[in-house]
Amino acid sequence: MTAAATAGLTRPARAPSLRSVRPRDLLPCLLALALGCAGEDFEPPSRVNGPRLLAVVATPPVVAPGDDVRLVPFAAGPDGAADVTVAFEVDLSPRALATAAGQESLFDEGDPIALEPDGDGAVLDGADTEAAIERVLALVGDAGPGTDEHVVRLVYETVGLVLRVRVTMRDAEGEVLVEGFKRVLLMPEPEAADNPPPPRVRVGETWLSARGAGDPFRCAPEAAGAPEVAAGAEVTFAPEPDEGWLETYPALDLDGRLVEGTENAYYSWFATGGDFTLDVTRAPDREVTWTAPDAAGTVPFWLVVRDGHLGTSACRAEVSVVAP
Amino acid sequence: MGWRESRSTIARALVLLEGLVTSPALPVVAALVLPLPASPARAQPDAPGGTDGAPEPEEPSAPSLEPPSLIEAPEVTLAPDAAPLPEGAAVLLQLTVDAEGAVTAAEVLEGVREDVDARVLEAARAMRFTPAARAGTPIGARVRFRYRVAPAPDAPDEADEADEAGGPDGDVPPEIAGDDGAAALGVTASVERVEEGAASRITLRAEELTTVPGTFGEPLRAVATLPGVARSPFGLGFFLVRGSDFQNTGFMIDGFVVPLLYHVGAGPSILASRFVERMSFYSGNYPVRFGRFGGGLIDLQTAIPDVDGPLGELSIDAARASVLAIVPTDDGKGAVAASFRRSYFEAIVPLIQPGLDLWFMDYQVLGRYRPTERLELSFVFLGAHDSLDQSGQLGDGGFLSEGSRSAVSFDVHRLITTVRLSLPDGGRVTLSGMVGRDASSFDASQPGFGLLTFAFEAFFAGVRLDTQIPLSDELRTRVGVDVNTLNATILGTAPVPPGLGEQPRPLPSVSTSDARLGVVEAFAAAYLEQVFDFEPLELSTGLRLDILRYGDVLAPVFDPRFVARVRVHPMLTLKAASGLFVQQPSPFTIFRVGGNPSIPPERAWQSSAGLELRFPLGVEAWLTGFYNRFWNIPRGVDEIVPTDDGLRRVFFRADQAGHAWGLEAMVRWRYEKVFYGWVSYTLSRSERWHPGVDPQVFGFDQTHVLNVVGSIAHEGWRFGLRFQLATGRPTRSVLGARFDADTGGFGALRGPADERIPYSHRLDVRIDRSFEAGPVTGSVYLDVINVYFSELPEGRIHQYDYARSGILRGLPIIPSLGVRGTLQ
Repeated sequence: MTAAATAGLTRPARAPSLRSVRPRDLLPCLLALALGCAGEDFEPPSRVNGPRLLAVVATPPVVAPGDDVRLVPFAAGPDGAADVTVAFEVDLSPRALATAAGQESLFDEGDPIALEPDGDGAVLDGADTEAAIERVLALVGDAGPGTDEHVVRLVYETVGLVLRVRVTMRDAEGEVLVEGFKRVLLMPEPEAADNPPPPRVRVGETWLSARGAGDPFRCAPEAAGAPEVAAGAEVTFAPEPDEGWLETYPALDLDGRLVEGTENAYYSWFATGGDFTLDVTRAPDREVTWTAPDAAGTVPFWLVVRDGHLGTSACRAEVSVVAP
Repeated sequence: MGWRESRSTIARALVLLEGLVTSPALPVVAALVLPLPASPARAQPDAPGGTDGAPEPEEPSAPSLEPPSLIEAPEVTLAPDAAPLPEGAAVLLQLTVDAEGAVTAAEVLEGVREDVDARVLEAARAMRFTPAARAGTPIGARVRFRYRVAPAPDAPDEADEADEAGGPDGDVPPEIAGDDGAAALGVTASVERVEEGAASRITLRAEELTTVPGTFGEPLRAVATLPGVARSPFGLGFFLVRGSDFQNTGFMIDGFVVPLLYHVGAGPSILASRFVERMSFYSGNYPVRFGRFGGGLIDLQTAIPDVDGPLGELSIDAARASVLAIVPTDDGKGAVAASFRRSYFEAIVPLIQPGLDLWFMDYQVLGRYRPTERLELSFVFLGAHDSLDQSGQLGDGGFLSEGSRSAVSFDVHRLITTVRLSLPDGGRVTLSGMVGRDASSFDASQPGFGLLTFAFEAFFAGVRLDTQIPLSDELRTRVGVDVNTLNATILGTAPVPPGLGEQPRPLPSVSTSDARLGVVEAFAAAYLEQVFDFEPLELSTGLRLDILRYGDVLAPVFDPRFVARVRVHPMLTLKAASGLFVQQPSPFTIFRVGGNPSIPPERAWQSSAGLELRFPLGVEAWLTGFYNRFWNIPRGVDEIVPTDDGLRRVFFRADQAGHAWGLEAMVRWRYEKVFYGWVSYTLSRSERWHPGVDPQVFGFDQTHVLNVVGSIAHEGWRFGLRFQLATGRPTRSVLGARFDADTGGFGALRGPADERIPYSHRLDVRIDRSFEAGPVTGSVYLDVINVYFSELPEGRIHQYDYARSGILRGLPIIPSLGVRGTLQ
């Protein structure tokens, strides 16, 4: 990667021959040099060259107390799949819930509990969330306006309380590779509670989709044949433009008034090789250009779709890079 | 004021100090002045990481003209029955000094009293000087000289004063008239005597101001080499003084605040150096006539240089050109002057990078008229504009990503009028008024964003009245008022912090609803300063009452200050100072939406003590210890506060406190014809804390800052070196990173600020060559910053997941070749 990319200028490095270098091409380098940003060679976020946790899908992402939530990790590796295990924990103490309402010091600290594994993921038991909410609401009681306790109740009843589910990904030897968290929104009458539909994406002229009957995390060609790209060539990746699945949700504006927020679709792109011009896209410029690597072979890529309000879907596919 | 936050935001945004700012509102402000990164997840800067920073070539230096300096002056003794004179009474003379150093003509410009004037005139004709010189060659010169007269027959005479002053008084710039009618010297002479009411003030002479290496001849940048001033990241024109923050150091022109003194992107000063009569830098404990800054202060006094006849000047270098003209009128009673400077980056840069539009300009128009010896009327109308537009850089070949564009501009305009009246008893009255307008605008778009627009506009008005009254030999009074108002408006689609219930998103979410936010501020101050002069003790006591009105705040603030100086030996003066200072919050922090209109003013208690030494051969030394205590410092928060009406979001809270202490030392070889130089060193420690958080080292703290400056002239050449060594600023160690599954990004897990980026050191070199070509005199210079390409670390940058990190480098080698010619 060039210094320009390091500086946040997103046109990625090619490997121009000396003959192809134009004077103006040097300016970014000169600017980057002048700005002192030269010298580092960082990997772009879209490059998968080791086990990566790309997303966690919570179903549903917004939930009422008493309903279960299933959490599934979406991991990637340099060969496509990742040989990893993922564990989940959550703190359901009154302090954690009050903190979600901005009141950090109301109650005593609690301990996180491990979620019950369920296949590749885990389940947040609705009974636990129901008990937690009942506990904290009992503690805040009927406190009136102007009190911290009232804030907790008000936030829960209007926009919901965010639970932070701790996520730990380990390799086959048990070494921790990634620590992170996934939010789950707890509110009495869930709104915007659906994840985006499984992705559908066009690579060049080939449509791939995870909306069939198969694996919802696998984007398969809708017609025969995987997409092919000549080595070193550019190809457009375009997500399904229909974003009718976007939802609305309640929010409190800066004056404390209840307003309606709207989700947005965000598309995060990953691959084991080549270069994307952007790591994340969104409407109206959802498309991204990918420059295939110079070597022929199969290149896995991943697409994560987020709605900006905790909803997530994702899929994996492959592009066949062929000799030009 | 608006520019305060702009300055802080620019600096902070360029520095991108992660962790100091936690409020969602501050990134909003940062976004207003910075192009949004097309892919914010690309790299994770946690330290200086701006989008610009390379200084542009700057204005060439003044011709190498050197004023005469006093060798000896006969005593002036009043008649025994003469009426006493007030302390500080002085006669302003115009002297013609020939190439041998003798006074061939003398004229009283401002008298004290007829009998006194006559005696002074007689004495003046017997004065001896070292002659003025151009490029080392003695020439005749005409000099303004303020001759202080002792109040009693047996009191010390001017020779003693002259020894203390070390030459012509700097209140008036020396005018040099060579054998061929040479040009004026330009920038000010120096006043070495510390002014009353100030613990310390450093002024630099013309040659020192315009030939310091690494400044491109820009006088104001010499401040960066003085004690108490920390190294400025990327060479920005904002200063960190005595452990305070960027916005705590004030910039003033003729006593009125301006947002910045330099063009954006480390460019030249917005004011032609010719019109800077005096630059005063106060690292702390500044006089009561100034206020509303919690740290240091830089005050520029403008004036039209005295010239014999019309003067024109043209400066050209690779990046810009400037013209300047001075026309005396009415036998020297009046003068008008104008200057205009325009960069031509836009003619050069598109040849290399189409679509990038970058330019700046500044102008000044000055007028002055002295209808009588005691009255002077003057005005200065100045302005500056900076523009950077990257909108044309879309598509292939541009270094911006597709769909990404940004444009930013800054405007500053001020009209300042001044009336100065010298009273017969030695008193002075100065009345000045100011109106001004600042504006900045920002347009940006990103893939997925609508066009984000922002326009900040502020109108200013101010009045100052300053009266100096010598009540007796031992007591002098200074009293005045200082009133300023501000009306600021933000228009556009400024992004606002997300509402409660909004969740973090992979890309920043921009609210595009039209926003119109307004702030009106009014500040009025009255001050009184009493100077008790009981030789060898001089005690200055001052009280300043500021009434601040902004947001929901109406606050009277009393700032008592004192300065004591004891001359225990002709070579040694001890000094001590202490005082309170106030600074109102910036408009951006007090907006009702996204701010906190109840935020109280920031306070500082500054104290210092030290000594001044004067050695033979023009060597001086200062040693000062200081302790500054700060409180009510605003910090960004994101809090949900219960109210009887429901919830209220608070984004700023003034509960941060801090302190800074340190030691400043400076040894200076005062300006001589051949050599000048100084060594300055600052040892300091600055910390901040807020409730629940232990003191942490301030984010820009620099333990050691050393500057060595030297310049020597020889047969028309001048060679200079400047070396700077500074401790790297603190940085918090990265212990790991945490993955946010809802944004796809990583957040750093940081430890305490127990690390520092590496030391910074650099060497700058400057060579000047003066020339004469017929009626044109001028100079050519080569100024090279960072000659050995030192790394100049500004911070650390990290990979998106913090798995790798590296050093963010500062300025590379920057050479500048310039020429300036003057025709008179």
